[in-house]
Amino acid sequence: MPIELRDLARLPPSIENMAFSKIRVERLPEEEATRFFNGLYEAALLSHDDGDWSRVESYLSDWERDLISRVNPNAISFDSSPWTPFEKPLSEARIALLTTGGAYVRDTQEPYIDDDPSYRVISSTTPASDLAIFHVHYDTSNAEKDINVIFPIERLREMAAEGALGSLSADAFGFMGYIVGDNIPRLMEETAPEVARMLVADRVDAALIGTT
Amino acid sequence: MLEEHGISTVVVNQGLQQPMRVKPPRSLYVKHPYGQPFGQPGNVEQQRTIVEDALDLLETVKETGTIVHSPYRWRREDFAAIRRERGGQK
Repeated sequence: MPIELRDLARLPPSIENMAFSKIRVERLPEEEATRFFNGLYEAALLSHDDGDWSRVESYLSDWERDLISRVNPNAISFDSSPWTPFEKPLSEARIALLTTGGAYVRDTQEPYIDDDPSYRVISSTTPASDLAIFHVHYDTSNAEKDINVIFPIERLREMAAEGALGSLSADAFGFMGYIVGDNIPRLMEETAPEVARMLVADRVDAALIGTT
Repeated sequence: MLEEHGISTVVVNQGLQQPMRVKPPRSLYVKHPYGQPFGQPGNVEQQRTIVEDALDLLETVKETGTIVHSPYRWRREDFAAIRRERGGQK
């Protein structure tokens, strides 16, 4: 039965859960979780013996990097990178914020589901406290304390008010970035062009896209 | 994809695999713990710095597929001082 390592690790609330959070939130088969802990213990014993604790840090970083690379088995690659040159000063530009971190408006919108190509239209004037998050593939606790961690809408509003940006788009967009299989073509062929058309209609010059 | 519709884009990435595989036109790679691309909760100066750095790539990146590494260390920077040095309230 798959388990989440954070169910086993049970850290005290006094420790801010920041490092290696990917290892905590992924669901792993039991034998893999066992292998992780056994390897960690072995690394700790060796490090205690020779004093080189970077071994433990490398072990954790390598595991985390491996988990990140594994979560999207049908990941797509592109050979070429299309390009629209950006030709006006930021202070005159209309900017749209997008996130793949699973943000949505709590009281009026449905949360996402896992492997979900849908998006949410989030008015750029939405109060931060109205926003919620759904995502099972990253540690969302920090974003739940402050949505700007994944979706810096308040920072962009401040910049627009100060004149550092020309304006914000009428709407920002939330996505849930973990999608596999058939949902990938759906995202590319239906969803993304829909969002693009809305941005074009709103005369957006550029999009800032936060990923997790 | 948005670029094909005439919208310039910049992506903030927390790892290098995604931008190396998908090749967005402009990427800011931040060395943050996973799940906090724009910074710590409540750290307005840090969040603002990352947002500004990302938007700056729209103006400074000249070659598509460029990944810029954000230089800041996770907890050990004084972002208020960094912003003051840049000219404060931009």
